[in-house]
Amino acid sequence: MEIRVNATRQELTRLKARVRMAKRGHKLLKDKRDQLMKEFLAIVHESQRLRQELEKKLSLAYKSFSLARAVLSPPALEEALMVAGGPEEVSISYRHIMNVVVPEMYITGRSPAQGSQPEEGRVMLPTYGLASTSSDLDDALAQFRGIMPLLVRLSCIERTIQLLADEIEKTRRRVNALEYVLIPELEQAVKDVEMRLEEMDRANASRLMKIKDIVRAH
Amino acid sequence: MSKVAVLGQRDAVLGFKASGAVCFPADDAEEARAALAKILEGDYAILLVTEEIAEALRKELSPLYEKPRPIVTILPDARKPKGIGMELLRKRVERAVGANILFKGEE
Repeated sequence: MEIRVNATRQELTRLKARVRMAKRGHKLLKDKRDQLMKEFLAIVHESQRLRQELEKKLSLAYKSFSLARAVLSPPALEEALMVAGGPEEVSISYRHIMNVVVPEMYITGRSPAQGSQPEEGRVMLPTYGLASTSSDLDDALAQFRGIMPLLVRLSCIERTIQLLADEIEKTRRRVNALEYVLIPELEQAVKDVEMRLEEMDRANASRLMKIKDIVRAH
Repeated sequence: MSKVAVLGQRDAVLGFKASGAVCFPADDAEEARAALAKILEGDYAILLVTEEIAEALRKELSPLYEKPRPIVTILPDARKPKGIGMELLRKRVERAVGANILFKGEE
């Protein structure tokens, strides 16, 4: 789309101000995009690492869980799992990265017997009968419990990635629109107006000379 | 305060029961759809879905990625991880950056 304005000095100053404004906005948005990208890349690599860790740990946990299932009778297993583990809750808070609101989650509400963070070497007290279950189940459940914080962290990060990706896309579009459309058009318009003003000046000057000639001839 | 929901095949979700998540066992797409409806009514912060169910319910799950909660995360499959989670991540990166900058060494 072409920018059409009257060829006057007032419009020219107005146009020049718009060019300056657009350039400033462009620079700001570009900085924002670069910073978002930096955050994004750091977080993407972390998520990749977390997911690989999760895949490894989860397949181990499934392995020991199926061992436990093979040893226990289904009703005994169901019974044990009915009471195993306290209710686990997640609290969400929000953080800003370059004006993007991203979630941060924490596990809360682990029952006191288990502690909020299972420590290394600390025996976790099972909440089911030890007599009716095998030790494989203890192992498997401990592994699943250890995976939970990882999962919460990963969920959080993946959502952050998605939000940042959306924002980066939006910012990139804006930067490109300014860089390749608005700024060139404005500059073209400034040039057009300047040329027309000069043309008018020249026309005026030649008219004056002509009039002077006519006046002198008399 | 909200909870974590796990949706997947029976043998895949049972283990999570002990870690305090709420389990929704579903063995086929129909059951999973019903469970998903129930999950959306409740107050869950995170929804973990196994790869198999995520594939079956692709259409139902896709609008959830835009919503603030629950946060849908794909669990790798117990036996043979198909890497749907990674795939999703790669797509997002590609859309944001405009090129596949990750995973270069793996292909």
